[in-house]
Amino acid sequence: MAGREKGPLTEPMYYVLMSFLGREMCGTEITEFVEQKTAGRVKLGPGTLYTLLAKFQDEGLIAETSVDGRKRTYRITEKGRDAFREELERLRACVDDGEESLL
Amino acid sequence: MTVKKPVPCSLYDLRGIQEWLDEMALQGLFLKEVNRRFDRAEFEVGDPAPVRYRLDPVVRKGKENEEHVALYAQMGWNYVDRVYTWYDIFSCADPEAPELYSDYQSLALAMDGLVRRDLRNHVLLALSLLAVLLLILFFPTPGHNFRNLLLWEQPEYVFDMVAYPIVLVLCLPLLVFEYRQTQKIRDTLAQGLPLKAGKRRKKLPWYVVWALTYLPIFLLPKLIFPDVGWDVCGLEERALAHPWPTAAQVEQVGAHPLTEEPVMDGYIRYNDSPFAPVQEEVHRYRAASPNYLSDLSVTIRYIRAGSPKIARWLYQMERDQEFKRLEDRQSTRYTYQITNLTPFAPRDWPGLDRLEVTRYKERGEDSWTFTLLRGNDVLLVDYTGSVQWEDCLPLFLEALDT
Repeated sequence: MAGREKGPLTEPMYYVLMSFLGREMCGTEITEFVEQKTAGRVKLGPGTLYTLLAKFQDEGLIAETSVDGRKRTYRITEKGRDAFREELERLRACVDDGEESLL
Repeated sequence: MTVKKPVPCSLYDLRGIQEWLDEMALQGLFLKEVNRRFDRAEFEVGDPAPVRYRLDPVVRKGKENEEHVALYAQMGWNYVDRVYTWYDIFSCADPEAPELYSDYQSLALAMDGLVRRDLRNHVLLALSLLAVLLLILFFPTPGHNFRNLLLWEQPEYVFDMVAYPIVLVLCLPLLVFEYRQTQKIRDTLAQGLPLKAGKRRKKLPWYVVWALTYLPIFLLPKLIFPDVGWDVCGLEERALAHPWPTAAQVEQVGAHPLTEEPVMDGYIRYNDSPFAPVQEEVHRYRAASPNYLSDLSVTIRYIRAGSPKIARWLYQMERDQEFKRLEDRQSTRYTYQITNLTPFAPRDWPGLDRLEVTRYKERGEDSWTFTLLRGNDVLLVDYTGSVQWEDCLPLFLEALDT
């Protein structure tokens, strides 16, 4: 598995990458998805959203699929999926470790 | 209605700037624009309202940036103005709208591009400053500046030569400090830590800062030091350091002594410096010629240096400069063109540390220049006439002993 090489994802990164797993998305759809998914706990600011999209594009985790005026749509790449899976496994391990320690 | 206020925060105090602008909005002052130097801000006066102002690092350019500004506006954040090429200021009047950057790490990522660009710009600026420094020290030649320092020919330039490098060297740590500030902001945010607001200070107006730096460093020396160290006077107006032979006296020792004393014209140029306390240059040429390019002319340049070592340096510099001047005259097409120039050749002469002679023709007349070094004395003589250098050198040595 060759995912993201630059360390663990932050919470906004994690949810932004997650938003593409189901389908291609544009900026406002991502914001809505994340807010809905986290029941309003994570609210993406525009600066955060567009910085992360640019970063993911640079790292090849997502790719632009269409441009309609100012609306840009992106899809996740295989590398992006791998990065998400890696992060998920890491988080699972963290949760498992925590639960084990509590018992 | 608008009001202007001085910006009390440094450019590196992101949080301080944001908090100050937020406070202004609560006082009914809404940012309209900031000036280019970011020392004054103009506000629209209105009813106090909780408007948030946030700084967004400028990492995009042109159309891409315009697109982002429009997308930000869709999410409640409106573009206000730009601070240098560093930050765009956005404002948001909707208290429900999320922060421009909802986590510190994403702001750190945005800062990353700014830090890289800042590093590149600072390195380029530092290299440019070093290039200017080298240019000042070594232009047109390192020897030129050294000669100027020893002879004090252009005192103002000597001061510039010292002052500019000091100013430039002081600028380098400032560049490092500035870069470290940007880097510190990025690193703090990357660790997920909030930035601390700095102390607010009343900044001095730019013209006061400019006056405080420009006046003492650049203007004052121009008022104190003259452009040119040399003074010029007539042949009879100044007692010379030694009774240098006149052209007529020189001619007397040649094969064709003059039957009558020629009417000579000319001038004396003189100067002094701590390294060369006596400097004089005497030009004498047969009168009635349209310029000093006479069929009979003698130019004496004498320097008494502060020490034999300085005299040796000056001897070499004067000889090289003289030869360059002769070479220039050889390559010109004007009336003062010379031909058949030979390189300075060393000669032996009792009692002299060094003696070198060059020969050439000036408008068909045999001419020569000799340079000699004896202890602290450097003497250079240009001659056009009928006498050979060997015949008249004793006259000059005799004068030097007097």
